[in-house]
Amino acid sequence: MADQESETKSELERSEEKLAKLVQWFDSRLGLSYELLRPAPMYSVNPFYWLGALAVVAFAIQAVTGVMLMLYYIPTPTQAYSSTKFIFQSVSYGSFLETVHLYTAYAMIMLTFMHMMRGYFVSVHKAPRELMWITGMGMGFVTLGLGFTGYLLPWTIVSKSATDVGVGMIDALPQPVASFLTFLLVGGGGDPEVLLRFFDLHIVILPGVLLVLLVAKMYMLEAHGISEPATGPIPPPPKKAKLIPIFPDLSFYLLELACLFGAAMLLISVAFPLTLPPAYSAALASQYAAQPDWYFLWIYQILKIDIFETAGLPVALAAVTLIFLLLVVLPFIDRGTNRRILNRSRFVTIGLIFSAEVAVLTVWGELTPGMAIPNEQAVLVLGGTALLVALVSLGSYKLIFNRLPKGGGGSSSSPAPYATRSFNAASLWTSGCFVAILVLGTFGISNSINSTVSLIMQGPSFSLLSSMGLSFAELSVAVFAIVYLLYRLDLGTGSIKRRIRAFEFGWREN
Amino acid sequence: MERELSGEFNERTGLRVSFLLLVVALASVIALWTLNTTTASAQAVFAIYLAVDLVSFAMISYIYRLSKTGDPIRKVPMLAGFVFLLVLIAAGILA
Repeated sequence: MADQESETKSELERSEEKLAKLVQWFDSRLGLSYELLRPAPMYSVNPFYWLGALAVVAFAIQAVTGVMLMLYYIPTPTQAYSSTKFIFQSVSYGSFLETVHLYTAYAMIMLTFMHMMRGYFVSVHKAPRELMWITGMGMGFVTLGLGFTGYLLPWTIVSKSATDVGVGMIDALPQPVASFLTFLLVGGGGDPEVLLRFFDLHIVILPGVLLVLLVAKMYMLEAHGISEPATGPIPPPPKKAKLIPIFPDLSFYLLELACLFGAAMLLISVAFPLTLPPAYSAALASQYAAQPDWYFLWIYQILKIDIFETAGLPVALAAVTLIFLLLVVLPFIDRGTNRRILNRSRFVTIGLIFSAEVAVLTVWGELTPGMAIPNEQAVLVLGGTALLVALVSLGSYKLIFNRLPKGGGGSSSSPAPYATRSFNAASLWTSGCFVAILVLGTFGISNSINSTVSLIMQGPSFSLLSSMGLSFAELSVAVFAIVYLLYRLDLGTGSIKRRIRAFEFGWREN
Repeated sequence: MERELSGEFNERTGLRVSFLLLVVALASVIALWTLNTTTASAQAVFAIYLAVDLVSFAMISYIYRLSKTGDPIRKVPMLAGFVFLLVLIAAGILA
């Protein structure tokens, strides 16, 4: 009996321990028992630490201009365009407000993306900030949602056609998700209902969700403090960073950044004033190649690749969803304790490839509206970009590590050789040469494949053979130059190194 | 503590510069109120003068923050700010 009692007791203790551990985990992540508005480290006086704050400033400008626009805007299909036109032409500051509202929305999306990528490179997603990262990702999705819902409101041919494409994709999603999104966005399915729902989502629901997530993230930021710098090859000696108070130092620093950001937004609005596209009509829509706004263009470009058109929209959407899902669960994938950029070559290279692919797909999408993308072209462009970025990134890592002093670095009193001006200049030149050679190589690959395919399809001719010869020569020069440059950077090992040494030796003898 | 280094302002100069910036900001606010903002060109002028206000305000905040923390007020960003303000004011007059 006593044994049974003690067993039950120990079981209870064990479950209590588990519960305590769980509570402690959440407390350490959410900062429920931490003090607020503590002084921040001196290194946070740096614009890169305030990209998220600037996105919030953009949101605040959006809120102010949005409320002013809302006074005149009428959310019905028959009056949405005419009320927008009225704001443009007859309301004091009308076109100015519209332009600033749109450009700060673009700035908000751009700043959010930059904030996310900076966080990725300096490992802010690692413990104990995992939940901050997930909350931030949620805020990013809400920001994209704000962009998507706001885009429809003027009811122009551009905005309505793009939204129709987006809404049309919902059916390709798995049934429960599709039903939920249809209920949320489309309702009964008529234009008036869709516009009203988009309007409600844009001005009430999504800003509300964003504010709730912002408060949660700010609370966690206060609890964990600002993340430590992750640059430099050697971790700094464990000393206490100089702390500065939130007021006036950091508050006024943020005020300076916010004022300069606001001024930049105003001047961009003056330099590139917005013009209102024609109103939406079914007849006009049939002649127009629908295209989403620039921040969704990279996704749309992926969907236009032949392989996804053949496999079907669900496969393409699953691929895009997988990218987003990987970003959300990143803290549980990249779990290493090392936060320094120079010690995370793999993840940094993956991040650089992702950023480059998003940029390339966006520009490419802008250049090829409504055109399907052949598979081989997609492989060449996306593969070439990935190869180029990976080689440059990994080459740079090797270059820096080879120049580091043996044994992990010198003393703090003597400057390391990688920090000198001549080394920086040499690195710049080497990187420039490397990029130029890789660009030549990428063109060489694509030209060689194109000319070989043309030769097979059309049969041999003098022009085709000469173009094929030239492109293969270009490719060979690029490959030779890459191998030689890698060797000069002390990256060559084994047989390559021996052969090049023999070649150089023979060269000198001749 | 007065600073006499060539690349930095001392606190008294900082105060004078802040006063000058305040006058510039006030003048641009007055200019804003004189505009008839239904035309597109007047809206552009409005945006430029509002930008002048914001840049002046950012510079005043910079001087205030550094004088509070005791850090040097560097001349280069201040001069860059003034050149930028002059360009903006000129653009506002020409627009």
